[in-house]
Amino acid sequence: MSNARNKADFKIAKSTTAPSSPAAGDMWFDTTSGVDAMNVWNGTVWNHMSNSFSATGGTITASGGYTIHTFTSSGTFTPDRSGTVDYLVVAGGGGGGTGQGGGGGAGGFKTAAEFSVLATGLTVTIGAGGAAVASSNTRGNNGNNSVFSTITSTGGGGAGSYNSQGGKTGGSGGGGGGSNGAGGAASPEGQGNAGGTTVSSSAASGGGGAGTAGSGGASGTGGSGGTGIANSYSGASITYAGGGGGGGDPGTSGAGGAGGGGAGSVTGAGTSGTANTGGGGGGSYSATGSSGGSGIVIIRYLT
Amino acid sequence: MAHFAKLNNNTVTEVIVAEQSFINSGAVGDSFLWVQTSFNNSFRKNYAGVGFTYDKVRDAFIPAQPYPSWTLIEATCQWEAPVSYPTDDQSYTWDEATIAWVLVA
Repeated sequence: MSNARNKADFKIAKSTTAPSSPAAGDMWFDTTSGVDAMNVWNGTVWNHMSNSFSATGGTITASGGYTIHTFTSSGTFTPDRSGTVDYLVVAGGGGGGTGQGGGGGAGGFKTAAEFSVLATGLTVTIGAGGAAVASSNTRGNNGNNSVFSTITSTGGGGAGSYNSQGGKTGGSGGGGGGSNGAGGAASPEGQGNAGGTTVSSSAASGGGGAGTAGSGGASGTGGSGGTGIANSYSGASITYAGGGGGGGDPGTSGAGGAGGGGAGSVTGAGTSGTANTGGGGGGSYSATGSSGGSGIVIIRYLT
Repeated sequence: MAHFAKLNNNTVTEVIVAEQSFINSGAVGDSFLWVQTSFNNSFRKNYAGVGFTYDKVRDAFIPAQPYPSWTLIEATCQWEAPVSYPTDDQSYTWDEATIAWVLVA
C-alpha cells in the first residue's frame, strides 16, 4: 500500500494567518511581512521550514548582512540548528601594580571564522578584570578567562610592583615593576604579547597588548601599554585588548595602550581598564594600581 | 552589570561578569559557590581577585597577607605594615627580617 496522496489532498495556503483545521502534511506559506516562510502541519503544530541559521543569547543586532550577538555579561548562545559562526573572545585585563607599579596585561584575544556549532545551548562566560591590590609590595591580580563553547581566552597578567617584582604571565603579560622587574610572558601563545621590562628605579613598565608588547619603563618615564587589535564583528571597528601603562617618577607615567588600556599614574591611582575591552589596568608609582577591564564575546553569522 | 566570585573553601578561584539569574541557572556550577563582589569596592570591602579569601563573618573579600608581621585593618580589610612607609619620596621595600622599610638602591 502506498503512502502517496493524491494531488487534490494537498492544501498550500498563502496568508498571514494559519489555515484552520489542517491535515497532517498540509503546507502554509506565511506571507506576513518580514517572515515570508513555508510551514508544514505535523498533525499537532506548524513546523517552520527554513534553511536560515538563527540563535538566541546576548544583545542581538544586525549589520553588513550579519546577525551579531554581543555578550558583555555571561549567558548562553543557543543556535536553532547546526551551522558556522565567527567569534571574538576577549578575556579580562590584568590589574595594575601598586608602588612602582607596572601596567596590567591585556586579556587574551582570540578570533576565528566559520567555527562549527550544534543546536544546543553553549555557555558564554565573560571574564572580569583583575583586581588591583592596595597593600604595598603586591602585584596586581590576573584577569579572568572568557569562554565561548570550547574556546577559552586567558586573563591578562597582573602587573609587577616595586622591589623588582616581575609582571605575571597571562594572555598578555603584565608590565614589570621598578627597579628591574621583568615583563610577564604571554602564555599560552597566540593571544597577546609580553609586558615591558623595567631598567630604572624611577619607573615601571607597560603591560602587553594583543597587538604589541608593552614598553619598558626607564629614567622616570613609565612604559606605555602595548596596543590592542581592531575588530569589526560588532559592526564597527573597535580596538580591544590594550595593555595598561606603567607608573613613572618624577614626571611621566605610561599611556594606556589603544584598546582600553588604563593609563599609569605618578601619585594617584592608575586608570582602570575600560569595561568590555579586556584592557589592562594602569599602574601607579606611589599609590594603588587599578583594575583591569572586563572581557567580551561577540558571535556573528550571515543573516 | 554585576560581578561574581567563585569560591573553593572560601578562596576565590574565578571572577566573572554575570547577572544573578545566570548564576542561579547552574550554567557555571552550583549557585551557592558564587558570591557577588563590587568592581568599585561598594560592598564586601574589596573587589575580589583570584587568591583572595572570602570572610563570612566580616562579609568581606581579603587579599593574601603579604608578610606575617602585617596586620589587617578592619575598616578596609587591607594589610598594613607595622611601620609606616617613609614619606621622603624615595623608594623602599619591606624587609620582614628586620621589620623595616629598606631603601631601594
